Parts: sequence; structure tokens; C-alpha cells
Amino acid sequence: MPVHKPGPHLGHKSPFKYLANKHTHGGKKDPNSAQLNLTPMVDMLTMLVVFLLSTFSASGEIMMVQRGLKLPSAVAKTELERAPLLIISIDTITLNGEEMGDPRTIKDDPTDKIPALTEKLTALQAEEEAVFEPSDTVPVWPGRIILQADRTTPSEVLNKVTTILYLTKWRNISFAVEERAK
Amino acid sequence: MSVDTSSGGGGGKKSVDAHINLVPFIDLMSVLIAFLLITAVWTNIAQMNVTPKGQGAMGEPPPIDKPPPKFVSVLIGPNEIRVGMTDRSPFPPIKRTLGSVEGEYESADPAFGELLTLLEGFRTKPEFQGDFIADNGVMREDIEIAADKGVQYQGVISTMDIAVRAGWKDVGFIPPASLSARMTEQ
Repeated sequence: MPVHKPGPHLGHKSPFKYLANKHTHGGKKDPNSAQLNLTPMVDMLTMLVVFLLSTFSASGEIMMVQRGLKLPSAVAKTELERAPLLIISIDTITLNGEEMGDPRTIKDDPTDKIPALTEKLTALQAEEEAVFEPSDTVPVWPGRIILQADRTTPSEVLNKVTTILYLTKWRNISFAVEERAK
Repeated sequence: MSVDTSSGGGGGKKSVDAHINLVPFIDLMSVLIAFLLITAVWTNIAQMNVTPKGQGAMGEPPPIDKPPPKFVSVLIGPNEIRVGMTDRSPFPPIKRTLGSVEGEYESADPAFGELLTLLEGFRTKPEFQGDFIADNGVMREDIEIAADKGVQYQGVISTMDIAVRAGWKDVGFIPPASLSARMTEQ
């Protein structure tokens, strides 16, 4: 079979007259018509959808990181679970969005008490335990809470907050961390 | 995009050319991309679980008919990391070279590498293994970690991370005064 130099139009040498007419307007170019090749666009969209679906994570639904708050990073970690959220940022402590105190003043306070936080945690504990339904896997109320703290939070504040959590029966604290590769 | 099965010469015959309409397909793809971009979480958030540790930590009185279990205790300070074990003299402190620099983590501080080796040793060296066997014959995985004054949260998380990587998966975060082990020579 001889090899021919490709012609200027698609279907130039094609015996299929229908195709030749369709793509080349019978051998004449229409100056007002432009054909958009959709194949690469569809390819790109498909690739994008596959990539975004593979990187989709539902943890964003469970917890949104507060603006300006930098989480500590860790390699060893487990999947985030749904629980009440206690946030310690640089200038405020909040429980489920309600302000509980200022960590800067709490750090310098010689006592281990944060009355607003203790009161709110006790009330929330009673509320959560009342609606808890035991199962075979979780026979007693687990007392789970997520602690989202800035990576620069001083240990004095952290120690006070965790002591209050233990005293108010929140015994499963999940420290929120940013996943980091080894 | 079309599939043409006509021979080209059948004048007057009905065309069997099938066209796939790409417009709804592209619309669907665009909507999907917009949705996924809006809901995308670019930083992956995970959790590290901690529980209270030590005698009577879970609200139960300590047993009187058998010796209390031994614990590995880690006290992280701004300048050094101290490791101790119940009923044993404390181990030499590990000097932190970077201190509590903002945002630092273990890959930047060789002290955490030393800590990893020490904590792995408790699980692998025969002289320690007998101390951590539970009643059911399985090796316990619980460890106590405390943070001294002047330490940042990242330092605490890095220490916990190292403990988990060394095989101590049940991490307890407690105040320094509640640690089971003595941390200074007396």
C-alpha cells in the first residue's frame, strides 16, 4: 500500500464522500465556522474529577480549623471522629463556639481553675451522658472530646485544660493534628 | 463525536449516524469539579487520642492484693526530655538543642531521635520487657507523658508521636506532678 503525503483537508483522499463533505464543506472552507475540539477538554475534566474524588476527605465536615490557628503536625495519627470541639487559639478558648476564657490570662493565673469552662463541660457531660445509648462495642459513655489547639499553646494552659477535662469526666481527649509525611 | 455506518453512496437512505451530545456531559463535569473544589480539604486533619494514666486515673481504687503496674514516664521540658520508670532511677536527661522554637518538630531536633531509641529499647530489651507484661500475658502499650512549664503544644505532640512510633500506642497526658516515675535524683 503506497504511503501518501497527507492532504490539506481531512478526508481529502477519502472515498467516503459523506465524511469529506461534513469536515471540509465539500472542499471549500467556511470562513465563518470554527470547530472546537472537545476531546482534550473532556479528558482534562475527567482527570480533574478523578483527582478531586480521590483526594476528597470528609474530615472537613467534622472539624473546621479556625482562621489563624496552626495545628501541630504528627506522623502517627488516627481518623478524626465526631465529638464536641474545644478550641484553644492564641487569644481565646471556646467550647462548641462559646467563649470560655483568655489563655494569656489563664497561663499566668496561679490557680488551676477556669470556672466558665468547668461549668460548661459539666453541663455538656450531663447532657451527652443522658442521651447516650450503650452498645456492645461502646458499653459506657466514652467521654470523647476534640481538642484543637494552636501549636504554640503553652503547656501551662494545656495542663490546666486537660486536668479540668479529666475532672469533668471527659476521659478520651482527641488532640487534633495536621497529618505529616515521615 | 459521531459514529458513521453509512457507505456514503446510498442516496435517499436514512442516515444511521449517531451523535453523542457532549454538552450535558461537560456541564455535569463542570458542576462536579466546582462542588469538589469547594468542599475540598487541603490540609488533612487527624487525631491523637490521650487518656488519663497512673494509679486510680480511671476512678478505680488501686488494687491492694498485687503490686501496682510499672509505667514509663516522659517529662518534656523546654531544654531537656526526662525519661523515667516506676521503681527505677531516672535515666540521664536528653538535651534539646532547639528548645521551644516556634513550630519546631522532631525532625529538626536530634533529641527526639534519642528519645525514640530509648523508648523502643523499653519494648525490645529483655531487662525491661518483664516489667510491662499485663495479666493476660500481652505486653502493655501504655505510657505517661507530661509537659513542664515553658513547653509549646507542638513539643508535646512530637513527644506523643515518638512514643506511638516506638510502639507505646496508649498515650496518657497528665500534669507533671502526677507522673509515676521519679524524674530527679534524690
